[in-house]
Amino acid sequence: MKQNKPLLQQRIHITWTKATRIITLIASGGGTPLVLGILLIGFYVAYQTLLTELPATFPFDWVVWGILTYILSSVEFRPWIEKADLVFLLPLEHTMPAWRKTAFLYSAGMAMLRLTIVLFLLYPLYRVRIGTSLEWWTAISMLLALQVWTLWVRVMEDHRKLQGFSNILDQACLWGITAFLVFWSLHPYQIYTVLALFLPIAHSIWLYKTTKTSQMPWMIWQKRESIIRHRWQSLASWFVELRGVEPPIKKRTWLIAIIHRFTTKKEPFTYLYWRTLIRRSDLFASFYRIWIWAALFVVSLPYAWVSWAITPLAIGLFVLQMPRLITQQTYPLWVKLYPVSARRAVHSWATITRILTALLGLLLVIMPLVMKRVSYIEAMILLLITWAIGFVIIGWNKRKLSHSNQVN
Amino acid sequence: MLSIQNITGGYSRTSPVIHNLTFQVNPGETVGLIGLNGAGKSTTMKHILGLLNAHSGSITIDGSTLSDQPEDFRSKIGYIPEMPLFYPELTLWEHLELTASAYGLSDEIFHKRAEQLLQQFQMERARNWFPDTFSKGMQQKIMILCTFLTECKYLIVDEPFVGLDPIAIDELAMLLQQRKEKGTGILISTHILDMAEKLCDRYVCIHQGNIALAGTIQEMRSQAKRPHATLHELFISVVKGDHR
Repeated sequence: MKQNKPLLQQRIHITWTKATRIITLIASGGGTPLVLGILLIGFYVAYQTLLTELPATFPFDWVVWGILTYILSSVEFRPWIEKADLVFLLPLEHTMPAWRKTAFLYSAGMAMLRLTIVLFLLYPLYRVRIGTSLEWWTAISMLLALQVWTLWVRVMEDHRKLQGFSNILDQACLWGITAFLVFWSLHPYQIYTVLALFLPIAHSIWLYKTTKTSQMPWMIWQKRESIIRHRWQSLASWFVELRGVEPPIKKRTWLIAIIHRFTTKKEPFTYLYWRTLIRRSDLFASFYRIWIWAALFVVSLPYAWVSWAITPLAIGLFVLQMPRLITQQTYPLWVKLYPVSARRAVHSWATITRILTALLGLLLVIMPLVMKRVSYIEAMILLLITWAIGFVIIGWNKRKLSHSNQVN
Repeated sequence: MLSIQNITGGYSRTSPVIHNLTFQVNPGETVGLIGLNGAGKSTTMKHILGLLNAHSGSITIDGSTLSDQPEDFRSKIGYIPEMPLFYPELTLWEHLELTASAYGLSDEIFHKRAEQLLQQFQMERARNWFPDTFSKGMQQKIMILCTFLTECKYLIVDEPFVGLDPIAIDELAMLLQQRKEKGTGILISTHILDMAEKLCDRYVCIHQGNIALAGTIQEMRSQAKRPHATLHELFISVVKGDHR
């Protein structure tokens, strides 16, 4: 293990050094802290409004229960296993339990920190509507212990390497027990205490017995590590430009089937860019993240001007990112060898961007309309303004891309 | 005709990798580009494909250059790279569809050729798989399938047999032969000299970026003044500098 431990600690150290550098870079930039500050104030106002305006009959305890069950059950073990480890660390498998222990302690620490932040955010809601301070602190200590247990179950599940229905059953088991234990932590009725102690112990014994002779789940952990890294990098790329990050491929079969049905196969770059966008690019995530952010603003801030400001801003944010589909995505050599001009590639990009802009504009305007922040006529005007802004930026980007040597 | 005239080039202006190369590939002919690792074979191919700009000289296909008519030039060339280059976000079938779309194949021709190629290379079961789950040989087959789907007038084939299973090697050799008979000009680089002898009509033997020997086996024997030498022996003599 002496060979492994420094390597793992070195990886954690390097990752945190990089992360600190990125956070410093973001914090030292002018715009991002300002936007984040506005967001924080916005959510503070929204939270206050929620606490005072929602009726007493609203099932707060069920919402808190749902949120905590999700947070506790969806915990991830970060294994810190890289692709090359499948070659170089494989012969050292007998020393890996120590690696797993260190990685577990790290993951547990991070998971407990995350849970503490969530609990801190939920505290006002709990105090106002659910229970007393003393009950809350008791619940916190039980939930933190429960978090460590769910993480341990996750590690055991990795060792079981189950797929298909067996995996679904395993997941259901964890979610069910966690939901029950969260409920018990929030409402510690004595009648359930025996069951609350028995269930996790029985599940742990069964997991331990089924996994004690299993091999390390190298492939699962390598894949998990790459997904976790990409997730953080993708989050950081919202604020700073990060190059050389290879995202995991998401199949999204149903969405591809829709695209396949309704788009042309005759334009090679249209064919390629749609698939890249949906399966590989973080722009797809940007699309729905921007929509969700804008919707949250509209829902939480009950002022018409918020809708008028947020909707065009959101479309602008999305369209301005879209050239990355051509310029920052790494395509193999083939795009240079196809007998297809760069002009057609840009045309394909513009077509896709126009479709997404039209769709996002529509989705953005629906929320103010549903929340009655704007009338039907105002919604129509807002939609037209949003589309106009989006299409003007597309035209400007199209001209810029046509003269760029980054295309094709 | 694919014509390479006095090409000098490489990755940097100050240190060219290939020097003053001149040779042709005629329709219905297979030319073997042979040489040691680092001799300049792949660099020559990259110049033909327009991925590198030559310092001097010209490359034409049927009289036109890449800068004159880029789309026409590219539509006449098919390329099988030494290392598989694929889109990780596309399945095997989508690679084929994309290639068909780029080369303007009709649906009917595409389906007919694609199905036939998938069957020939035992890849039917993998049609909806993503290539990052493939073995290296299977990834190389994607390159082969995409290239043979297009039926281009000229094929540039870089070390095509590396990583392939014996059935795929036979199938590829047969396809190359068939395409040659149909009038395709093929420039093939390979280290497998036995295979080169079977497939090629002429050879261009490159050593340290220069053409050391060129022509049919007979012509190369007389250039090397070794009337009974095999291709293997000629190659060794070039590498060791015995023929000079």
